[in-house]
Parts: sequence; structure tokens; C-alpha cells
Amino acid sequence: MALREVQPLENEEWTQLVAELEGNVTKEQSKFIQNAVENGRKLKVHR
Amino acid sequence: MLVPDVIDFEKNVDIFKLEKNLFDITDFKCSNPEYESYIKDDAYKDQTKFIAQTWVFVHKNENVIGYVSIAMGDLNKIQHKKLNHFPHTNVPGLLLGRIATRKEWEKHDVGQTMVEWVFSEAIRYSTDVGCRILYLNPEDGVDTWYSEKMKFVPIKNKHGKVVTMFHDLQKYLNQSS
Repeated sequence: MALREVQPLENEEWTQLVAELEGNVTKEQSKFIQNAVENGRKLKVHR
Repeated sequence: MLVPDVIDFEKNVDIFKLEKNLFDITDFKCSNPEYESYIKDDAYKDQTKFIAQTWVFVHKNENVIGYVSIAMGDLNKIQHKKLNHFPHTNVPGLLLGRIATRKEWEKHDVGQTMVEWVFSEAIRYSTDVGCRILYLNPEDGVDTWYSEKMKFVPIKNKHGKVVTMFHDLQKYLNQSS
């Protein structure tokens, strides 16, 4: 609760922060970036 | 122009740096008139001034089906609590600038594919130059797509409007190092 007192958060932000602390959002984003990079690297680039 | 139901990006789409007269963009139309005029009138000028570099996505070496402009940039770490822990005031990153899909080719994942390619570019730069985030300043009405489909983290102004969105690339870099 100390964090909330220092930097007030909206409810949805609080929920997201808790989810991140539990690792859910971070995992989802990591997986997303991994897929995106893999897909992006498959494309042919003419530099 | 015949638009396939499904685009085989790996096989049929090539990415080129924007060049004068390399591909015909005179009839390029997209849902945002400003972005339509950008590629026709300003993108090449920005490129020659090294302000932004524009890459065109070309289907079967013929049709420009979309473009994306990228540039180096940064965010101030006070802009979001997730950036607060950075040791320096500014967090270096790649700016995903203007991005547009040719109107007839909308709803075929062209936009998503272009963003995915920009992710791969950002990762490429991150080990050669220093590029910790990928970020953008969304036009009105597109932030939901970026947050829900592309998982960008929104930064809102004091009125609650999303003004910037970012991805921290460390999530990927830590896994791959």
C-alpha cells in the first residue's frame, strides 16, 4: 500500500501493476515481442 | 489491382528503402490523408535530411502496400513508472513514426507485419547502437489497437489521452542473451 500512497494509481493501473508483479503481463509481453521479432526477421529487406 | 485473400508476406512481400521512382506511389491511398501526402510529398525530403527513414512494403515487386517511417529518439524516464528505474534521464529508443497501409490492402495484416518488422529492427539496433525501447505517438483512435493487439504500454497526459506508447525491449533481450 505504500506505493499507492507515494504515487496514486488509477484502479486499472493498480490491477495491471499487481498483474505485472505476479509476472502475467511481463510474460505476455515477452512472448509477444519474441513472436514479433521472429516474424519480422522472416521478411526480405533490400538495404 | 488484385488483392489476395491471404498475403504470403514471407514469399511475396519485399521491403525497400523509399527511393524516388523505384515504385509508383502516385496512386497510393490510405485512410489518413495526412499520411497519404506524407509518403508522396515529405517522406523523401525527411530521408535526405536524415530526419526519418521510410521503408516501403512491396507485394510481388509491383504494388506498394504500405510504408513505415522510423527514426531514433528517446523518452524521458519520468514519463512512466516503468521507465523510472533507468539510470539516465532519457531512455534511448526507436520511434515508430508514420505507418500506413494502402487502402485496398487493409484488413490483411499489413499493419501488424510492418510493426513486427520494426520490432526486429529495434532489436537489431539495440545491440549495435543502444536502443532499449520501441515507441510511438499514436494518432487519435489507434491506441486501442496498439495496446490490445500489439501490447504497447500507453502513456497518458493529464487529460487521460494516450500520447505515447512503448515497449521495453529488455523483456526480449534478456531472454535471447
